[in-house]
Order: sequence, then structure tokens, then C-alpha cells
Amino acid sequence: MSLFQHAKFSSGGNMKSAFKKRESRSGYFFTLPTLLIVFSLIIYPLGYAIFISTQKTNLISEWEFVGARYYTELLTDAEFLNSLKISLTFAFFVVVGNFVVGLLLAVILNQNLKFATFFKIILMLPWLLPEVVVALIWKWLFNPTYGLINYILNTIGLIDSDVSWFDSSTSALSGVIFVAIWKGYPIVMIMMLAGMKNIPAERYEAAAIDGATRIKQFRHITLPGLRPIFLVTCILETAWWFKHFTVIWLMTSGGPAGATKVVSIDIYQQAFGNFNFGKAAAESVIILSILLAASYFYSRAIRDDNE
Amino acid sequence: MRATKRKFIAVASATLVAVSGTISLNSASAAITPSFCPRFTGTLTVLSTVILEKPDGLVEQEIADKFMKACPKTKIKFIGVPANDLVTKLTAMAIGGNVPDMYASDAVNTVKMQALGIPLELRAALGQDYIDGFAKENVGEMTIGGKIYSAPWFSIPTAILYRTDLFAKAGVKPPKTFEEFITVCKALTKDTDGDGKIDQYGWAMVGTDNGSGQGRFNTIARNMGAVDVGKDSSGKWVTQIDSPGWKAALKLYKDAVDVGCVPPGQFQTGYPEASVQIGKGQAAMMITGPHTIGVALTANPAAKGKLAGAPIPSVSGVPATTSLNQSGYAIARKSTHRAAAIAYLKFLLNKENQLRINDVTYRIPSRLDAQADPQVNSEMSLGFVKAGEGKVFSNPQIPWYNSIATLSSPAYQAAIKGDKTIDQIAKEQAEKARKVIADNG
Repeated sequence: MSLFQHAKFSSGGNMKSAFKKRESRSGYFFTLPTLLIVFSLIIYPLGYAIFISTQKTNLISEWEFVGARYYTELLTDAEFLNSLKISLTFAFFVVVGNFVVGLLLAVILNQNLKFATFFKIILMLPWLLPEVVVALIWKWLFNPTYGLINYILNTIGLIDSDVSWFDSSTSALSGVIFVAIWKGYPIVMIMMLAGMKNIPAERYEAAAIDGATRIKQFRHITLPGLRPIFLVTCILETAWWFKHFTVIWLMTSGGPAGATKVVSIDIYQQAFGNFNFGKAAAESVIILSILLAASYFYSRAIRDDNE
Repeated sequence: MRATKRKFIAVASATLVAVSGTISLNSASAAITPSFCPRFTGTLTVLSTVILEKPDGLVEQEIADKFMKACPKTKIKFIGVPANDLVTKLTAMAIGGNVPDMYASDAVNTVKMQALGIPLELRAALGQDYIDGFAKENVGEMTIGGKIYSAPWFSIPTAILYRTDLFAKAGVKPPKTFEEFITVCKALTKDTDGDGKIDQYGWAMVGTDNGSGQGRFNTIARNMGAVDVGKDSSGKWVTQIDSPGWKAALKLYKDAVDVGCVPPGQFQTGYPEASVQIGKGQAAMMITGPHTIGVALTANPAAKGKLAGAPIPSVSGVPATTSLNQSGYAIARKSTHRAAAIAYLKFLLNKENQLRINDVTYRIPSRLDAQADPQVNSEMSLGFVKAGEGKVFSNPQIPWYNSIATLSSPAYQAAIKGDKTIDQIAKEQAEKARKVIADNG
């Protein structure tokens, strides 16, 4: 290789590497805003929560490192474990309820009914109402002395004295589950309806030609066709209702005697009742871990499904 | 020379005009601006619990409007917060560094906020002469280590509020013992219209899991001889949550519900619901302060003159005890509008305004000049004034008191539900209290 050629080659190499360098620098430059947003909105708050969970603190003047003390305390604390159990029960029944009601209504709305748009709007209303409004409306409806439910049941002779709907553990939990389903089914209904619209009509036509009944078509075409949406909705719904606070807090404040005290109420009371921000943060981190694990299993299921 | 002379005359006359103008402006403004007005131009932010209540909030707004009319440069902006959420809201504001210029403050959150270094010391800010104008017991609860961190506005001593007309109809008198309390409660529970359904109950029990329920239970437990947390003779923090007195208080709640003299849905009956029940005659008595008279009369103006107060019973050997449940205002140490806040605070606490809030809400003023007015001892609120003059307990001045106070509400709810025995409940809550003491005491 002549000196000229070598110089030419090396200058070409330099140019290439300079270009590569510039390209990689501009890559960093373009991803920087996203990285900054992710850092400030997700990584920093998460890191700060983990940091607080290792401190005995009032978040202003008292900071004392306690290590993993709150985690060990919580994992052996019967009250916290009971709150976790109540959260799981609540989330399970609400998610199942939302799926049953949402899917049923989606199937009905998918039948090309007259005034389908009108019904869709009506059925979407609970989702559009703020949670505070929903909780207060139902609290009033369930009120034993002046609530509409007792009044109607009294009028038609089903009860002869006022029923206190939230005075027993079972009825209080059932009550908040019912209200959460009422509030939550519309989003599942819309997701399922969107999924049904994506299933090609030819499949149903072919099945009909082969003599499949409506129920068989639903079982072998609709349900498998909805599987990806079902899994995504499941992740969202589980995460949403597992850490739910507003409706339960406003309706029962976690009572009677802790019967509806889900883990988010426990976190709130630790932080703003007992001002134990470290323990509240530790509870939040535990919840985050549980939800991350649940999301992992769901996403594995989705991936297996796609494969 | 002539030019210089002319120049001098011009400058002198201009100065004269300017000076006389300033004087006339000053005298004009002095004529319309009262001396108590601050020089501050801007908005004073006030976190208030009273502002959300009715009719109490209307009076607070009326007083602020009067102040703003007199001092048009200063605006008062209220941030409303329910009394049960005050500590939570204030703590969140303190952490966020946005505490308002003035904030509502009771005995418990005075301690909490002082521990966080939030309030301004008021003895120096208001002056000793002004401090001497407060009733001693009122200012005492707001004093920590000789320093005053809140200015008391009013107190609402806990007693029995009862419907005199319903008591007379049933032929009963306010109970003097807790056994009588249940008997009277039963006697007042009736089907008044003969439709086979009970429509009048004895006791409007506040059974919610919040500060309203906890405070009332705590006063009953004190009258049963039990202290939720206090110091023993050696100066150590101890709890009496598993003592016979505390268990007796739980039993009182359970017995009242079991005999059917409490309106159904007691776990959802908070302070507002119970006050309306008293006003409308759906219940005949309630453990509460005189402020409920105003709320009850708003629900039913026809109840005027049919309400009275009586002391809460106490067990033998325990003097009848009440808590002042007072509330006032603190000024944030970091407020840049300190002088304006002090001016508004003094305006709020002047005799005329103290008597105005007492007239509408029956809250008992904290200033001695207002307390001396015959209006304060009206027939309906006299029982509460008397209760406040008896033995008064104050919650201990510890920043972690809330962790103990909140143990009572799940306990009385559990006792009423009856899934566990009272002994079990008391034992469990006492263990939790002892853990709180070990962690903080």
C-alpha cells in the first residue's frame, strides 16, 4: 500500500469513525429527553420511595437509618398480611366481576342492535363519573335510614326493618366490591368490544356453514380471538384494583373494624395517621414488587400466546 | 438674582403643595382605614376547618368579609379542610413546604406542628398583655415548654347534648351513671307514629373510624377511669387500654347497639349525620360539644329552645371529666405576611367577633372579655359551659399521640360487631399501643 493510498484509507476510516461517533452522540442526544422524563417521573420517585423505606422519618427534620427493619416487621405483621389478603380478595372479585359484566355487555352490544350507540353511551357513564361521586352516590343509596335501597326493599315488602349494609364484614366487603364493579366494567366492555370488532367475520361465516351454534362460535372463535386483549386488560385491571383506595375509603374508611382495610388504606394510615412514612414506603415497595411479579407472569403468558 | 428668587419661590411653593397634598391624603386615608389594618397589600391564606361547616363557616366568612371591607388592601383566602383531615393536610403541606400564612390548630396538631418547627411563637408576637386576655385553661393546651404556638379561638367541651322535649315526653332525666345511660337510651327509643317501625332512638352514636368517633370514645373512657396514654409515677409512658375502664367503655358501645337504642348504620354515622339526627328528633342524645347546637338548628330550626347540655356520667371514684376540644389559629413561622396575620388574628378574636361566633354556633369563646358576657351562658349551652368549668383533661403533648388515639375506633367497631371478645380486643390494641410507646416514648 502506497503512502498516498494509506493516507486516503486512513482518512476514510477517520471519516467513518467520526461519522459513527457523531451518529452515536446524536443517538444519545435524541434519547436524552425521554431518559430525563423516565428518570424524573419513574426512576427518581421509585428510588426515593426505596430510600425512605429504610428511614425512620417525618420527611422534614427526622432522618434515622433503620435498614430493612420495616420490611422484616411487615412480613411478620398479621395486620399487614391481613390487609394484603383483603386487597387480593377485593382485586380478584372486582377483576372477575368486571370481566363477566364487561364481556356480557360487549357481546350484547356486538349484535348490531338498534340504538347501540345510545346504549354504549349509557353503559359508559359509570366510567365517566369521578370515583368520589360514585362512592358518595352509593354510600347514600346504601344508607340504612334514608337510603333508596332500603326504601325500595321496604316498599316491596322484602325487608321489614332497616338493614345496615356495611355493619358486617362480609356485607361491607361485598358492598365495596359491587360498587367497584359498577364503576369498572365499562372499560372492560369497551376493550372487549374493540377486540370483537377485530375478529374477521369470515371465521363466523365459515363456522356457521360448518353448523356451529352461537355458543360454539363464542367459545371457539370469540374467546380465543379476545385472548391478547383479555391478557392486557387483566394486567391493567389487576394493578388498578389491587392498589385501589378512593371508593373504599369514602364508603367504609376500611371498616367495620378493618374488614375492608385494603393495603392502600393501611399505607395511607401509616403515612398520615401514624406519620410513619418509612413503614408506609416499605409497604408501597412490597406492593410494587407483588404487582411487578404479577405483570411478569401476565407478560410471559402473552408472549407464550404470541409464540 | 431675580431668576434665583423666582426659582426659590417656585420650588418652595411646589414643596408646600406636595407636603400639604401628602398631609391631606394621609389624613383622608387615616379617616377611612382603621388603625388595626395591616400595611400589607396582598392575600393572606388561611387554612380553616370551620369554613366548611354550616352555619359556622358562614360566620367565619362574614368576619373575614368585615375585615376585608375595613382593610381593602388585604384579602383573606380560605382553604377549607374537614376537621378530621386537618393533621393529614397540614403534614402534607409542611412536607411540601407550602404551609399557609395561618392554619387552624387544635391541641394535638399544635404539638405535631411544633415538632416540625412550623408555627410562630405567639407570646412574643402578640405581647404578654394580649396573652393575658385568654382564659388560662385555653391557652395552656397550646403552650409547649412555656411557649405559645396557637391562639385559641373557641372551645367545645364534650358533654351530653339532649333534646329536652323528647326527654320530657319519655319522663326521663339526663343520666348520671352509665347504667342509667343505657336505661335512658332504651326509654327514648320509640315508634312515635305507631307504624310498627322505630323512628326515634336514644343515642346518636358517632361510630365512624375517624377523629370524631375517637375523641368521643376517649372522653367516655376517661370517665370510666381509663387513660389511653399517660405517664406513670416514674415518668414512663404507659397505656391503660387493657384496663377495666377502657373495656367498660367498649362494653357501653356494644350494649347500646345490642339493646337497639342506637340508629342503624352506626359505623357510617359520623359527626354530621349524628348532629342532623339530634336536630330532627331521630335521636334524643349525643356525646358532643355545644357547636352541635348550631348544626342541629340548621337541620331543624324548630328545635330551638329544645336542646340542652348535661355532663357525661362517670364511674364512682372518677370525677366527671371533659375535654375542651378547642381550636384556634397558628401563624406559620415562615410566613412573609406575619404582621397582617397578627392583625387578622386579633380582629377575629375581638369581643364582638367572639360573641358573633358564639351566638350562631354556641362555641365557647376563649377570650376572657367575651366569656364574661351573659350571652355565652345561654340556656342551651349552659350545660357545656359548666362541663368545661369542671375537671378538664388534655391529651398528652407528644407528636406520636395520633398513633395511640387511632387505636380506639377499630376497637369499638370490633366490640359492636362482636366477632371477638372485649378482652381480646383490648389486649390486641394495648399491645399495639405498647409498641408505639416503645418505638417513640
